[in-house]
Parts: sequence; structure tokens; C-alpha cells
Amino acid sequence: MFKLFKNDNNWSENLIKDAELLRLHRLLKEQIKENFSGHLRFYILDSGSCNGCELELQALFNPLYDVASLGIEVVYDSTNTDILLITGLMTENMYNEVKLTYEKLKEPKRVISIGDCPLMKAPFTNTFALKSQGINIFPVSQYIGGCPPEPKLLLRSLLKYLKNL
Amino acid sequence: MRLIARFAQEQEMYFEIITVYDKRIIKERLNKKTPALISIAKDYPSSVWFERKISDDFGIEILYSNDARPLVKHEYFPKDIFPMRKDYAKLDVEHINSTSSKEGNHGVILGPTHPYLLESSEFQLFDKNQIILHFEMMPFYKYRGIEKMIEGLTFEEARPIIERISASQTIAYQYAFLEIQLQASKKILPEMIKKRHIFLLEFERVMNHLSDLSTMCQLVEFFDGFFFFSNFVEQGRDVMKNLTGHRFGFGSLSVDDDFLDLDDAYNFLFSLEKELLKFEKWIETKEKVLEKLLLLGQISKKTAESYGLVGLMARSCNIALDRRKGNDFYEKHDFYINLEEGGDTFSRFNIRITEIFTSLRIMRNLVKNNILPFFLGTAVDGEYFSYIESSAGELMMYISLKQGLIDRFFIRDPSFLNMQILPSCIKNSEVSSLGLIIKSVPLNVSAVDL
Repeated sequence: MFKLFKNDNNWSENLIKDAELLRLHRLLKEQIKENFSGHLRFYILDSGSCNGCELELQALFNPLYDVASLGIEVVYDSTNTDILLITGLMTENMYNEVKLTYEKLKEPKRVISIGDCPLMKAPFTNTFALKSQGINIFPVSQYIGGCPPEPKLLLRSLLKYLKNL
Repeated sequence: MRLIARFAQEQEMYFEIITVYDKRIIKERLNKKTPALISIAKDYPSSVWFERKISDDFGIEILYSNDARPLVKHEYFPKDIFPMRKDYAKLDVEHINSTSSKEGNHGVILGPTHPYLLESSEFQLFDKNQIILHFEMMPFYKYRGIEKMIEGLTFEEARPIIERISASQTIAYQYAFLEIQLQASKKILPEMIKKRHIFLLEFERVMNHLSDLSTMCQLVEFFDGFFFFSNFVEQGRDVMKNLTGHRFGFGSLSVDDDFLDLDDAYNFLFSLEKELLKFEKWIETKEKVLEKLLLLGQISKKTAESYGLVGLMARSCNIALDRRKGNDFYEKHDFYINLEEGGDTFSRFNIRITEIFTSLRIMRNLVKNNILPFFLGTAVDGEYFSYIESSAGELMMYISLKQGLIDRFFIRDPSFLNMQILPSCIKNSEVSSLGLIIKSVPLNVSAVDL
């Protein structure tokens, strides 16, 4: 869904990659090449979000952030992913899905929590429909806070995580 | 009469059913011992989801219904718990370890993660030779219990939750909530502040239409179009951040803040209008792209009316339904309704473009003004309804306030009605066009799942 192709028009001319973004691109590409042979697969699981985090993750694939050119791809089969990204509150309805998905992950199981909701730090209060512990029921490799985290923060945090692998 | 919403609330001695039509609101009382409600699904097919939700939330039996399956409560949720009843206050529901109820089901189940929607959701699909014979969408897949969460809170405490029900429609939700606060405090919003809020509401509409158009272009493999729209989405998010301090506009409809950078916003809007005019001419030459959209996922005007579709889903079937129509403020600022006749994906693509032009025209008329101090004042107990035309269609919000606290909070998102048309408009389509049809319908799962 997110795969991009080259275009002939100059619609991208208003989107200018600043020095930080260029640096992030270069370093991420190096890390993905080193750790994942140049091809990194994400499986995104929304466990009860407002769709803000998903939209910011989707923005990573737009012509400005263009992470597809770094070798990043979204997959829809959790057995075939390198990193599981979890967004949103941990709802009772979704808990079983998250558990099943986590169990299916190949070793080493890598989980990144996106946004304030999985940590129960967003302004939502607990209800019968939520797991009060949030994402902490599962082992998490990296937390990226924010409501929602902006694309650049996502890239910075991803780089930090990949550097520590 | 058009059905807008049907929901229940618990009073001390009885259950109250509130049915909201466009011309009147009807209230019924049901005894608490053996509560039973007569279905109106025969006349209003879209009432089925409302009634199934009432049954799940309060344990009210629905009589003469053709669909008594649970809607909110999924397979793991205990059957004997009715979470919206006042005496239910537990925070942890022990979900049952169900042996999957999906056994014996020979259809294809897609979800919770699939390429057709960003949010978790589940589709059930039956096909033969790649033609879809039956399609069903399972709502409340990631049910957060928002209605219950808001009960017992003050307006101030509820505000940050309401603005986060759905990020892509946060401005519409904030606006609907503010309308209720104004009603409760018996105040009228000064025109200058209203202009700023409508500007943001229209901006949100433009952003959501651009985002939908970008995905639709991608799904028909029109990648130049995808680049065109997704560039404007990214620029627009930055402009929204300059305006409100947040890329989606969380916390932006207060009554005393001013814009941060309106010049930047105007530059973006003028550039969008100029380029969109060029795009409109350019896409006319892309016959292969247009062919892929034509006659796909078609809905007749009659079906749209019977399902009570709202927003661009109604307007693309030539139904002149828009909360902005007849509204003095909008009429004064050069609004006129946009309609398409086809009821297909092509019409839903086109109407998004024409509605962007309409929003841009309205926004141009909403010039910057200095904001004078304004205070909402004390909220008075009572029942309040607000209706907002969000980017996805008519949004209804209801709040019952008792002793200054929210006693019942109910939202009817446009997607709650529009989602119910999916089985009809997907049936007999090719499996390969499933994504495009789904993306042509403005769906907001988080606002339905609550």
C-alpha cells in the first residue's frame, strides 16, 4: 500500500528535505543495510488508537520522508516482519490479537511502542474496555512517545533503536 | 423523516430510548425489569446497528429485529455484562477464553491489519471466481469504552478525551463539543471566533479529502496523482501545526487563542487552489485512470436514502444533504452545495475535488480578526445536541449534564451510517477493486469503535 514509484512531474518541489532529514536518511540507510541487508519490514498493529499515529506512520512513506527509498516496507503478515509497531491504547478487544501477533513474531522479537497511548500517558482514563497496564503486558524494545509522534521524531527514534541493535 | 441516531440512556426508574430524526426527537421509556424495544429496522435499515448497540450496552431486548447478533461485544466479551448500565462500574472485565466463534466459517477473514484501512478492523469476505458474493465489516473491533469513560466528568475534564476520539476529525469533534458547551452556558460565540473555528473545520475537510484522494490515486496506480495529493497533505500538516501548534489540531478550538501564522496558511491554500485547477484539467486526459473509477461500488439514490447516508456519500448520490446548507454563516461566506449523480467511486473522487474548491472559497472569506476576550460561563444542567458537517459527513453529539457532570455522552459519527453501506456497494465487485471501493468511502474506524 505504501510503496512509492518515481513520478515525472515536479509536485515534490515544495517539499524540501532539510539537513537533519538528509542526515537521518543517510544514517538510517546505513543501519538498515548493516542490520537487515537493506530491507526492513514493519508490521503495524493498532491496539486502540485514534488513527493519529497511523497517519504519521503513513506520512513516513510520502515523498518528503520517503522511507521506502531506504528499504522500509509495511507487511501484513506478522510472521514475516522484522519489527512490530504497536499504536494506541491496549483494549480488551485487541489484547488477544496483540498476544497472537506477538507469539507469531520470529526471534528476536522486536516491538516498538508508538505514541503516548500504549504507555497510558494520553489523557484517556481507564475503563472496563482497556488493559490498565497498557503495552507493558508485553516486552517492548523501544518506546516512542508523543501524541502522536511527528514523522521526524519517529525517524530519529528508529535510528537510535537500530544503532543499539 | 431521516434517521440520524438511536441510542439509550439509563434514568433512575427506567431506560430511555432517544430516536433522533431530522424533523423531531422521539423519546420512549422502557421498564427496567424486562426492557424490550420494537425495532424500526423495517423502515430504517441503518437502525440495525444502533439497536444492536443498545442491546449490547444495556441488555435491552430488540423485538422484530432481523439481526440480533452482538455488535459492540465481541467473542471474548462476557455475555451477561452490560457496560453502559449505571450499576456497572468495574474497571477490569475478565474476558472469556472463547474457542473461536469463527469455526465453521468458510469465508475469508481480513484483519485486524490489512492494506485497506490504516486502523484495526475486520472484514469478512466470500468470493467465487474473484467476484465478491458477500462482504461484512465488523465494527467495535478496538472498542475503548469512550462513552463510559466520559460519564461523570466535567466539561473541562472531558475535552482532551473528546478531541482524541479521532485524530483526522479532531476539529469537527472539538467544534461539536464546543457547540454543546455554548448551549449549556447559554452563550453565543462571537462571530470573529466562529470565523476562526470554521476556518479550521474547513481546513480539516480539505486535509482529509486530499488524503483520501492520494490513497485512491495510489490504488488505481496513478502515481503522479498520489504524489500530487500526498505532497499537499504533508505541507498541510505543517501549516496546521503553524496555525494551532499541532499537526492535526488537537487542543485548537479554545475561545481565546489567535492563529499563529495565517499568512503561511493563505500561501498554502492559494498554491493548492492554483495547482488543483491544473490537476483537474490534467486528469481529464487520463482516461485509463477514470475508467478504473467509473461504475465501481455504485450506490443508487434510493439505497443511499434508505440507509440514511450522510456527507459526501449522500452528495455523490445527488442527495442535497449538508449541514452547511441553509446555515446563515456559511451562506454568507459563499457556500453552495456540491452534488454528483453517479453514486460510484468516480463520483466520490470528483466530489472531493469540488468540495476542496468550495472549502477554499469559504476560507478565503474568513479573514483574520483580532480575537476579543470571551468566556463560556457556567454550564446549566440539561440535554444538549449538536450537529456538525465534518469532512466525512453529519456528526451528531449528545450530552446530558446533571449537577455539572456528564451523565450520558453519545456520538453518532458519519462513518456509523456510511459504513453500513459497504456490503451493498461491494457485492458483485471484483476482489481486486475491494481496496479502492473501501477507500472511496470516508471511514473513520476510531470514531465508530469509540
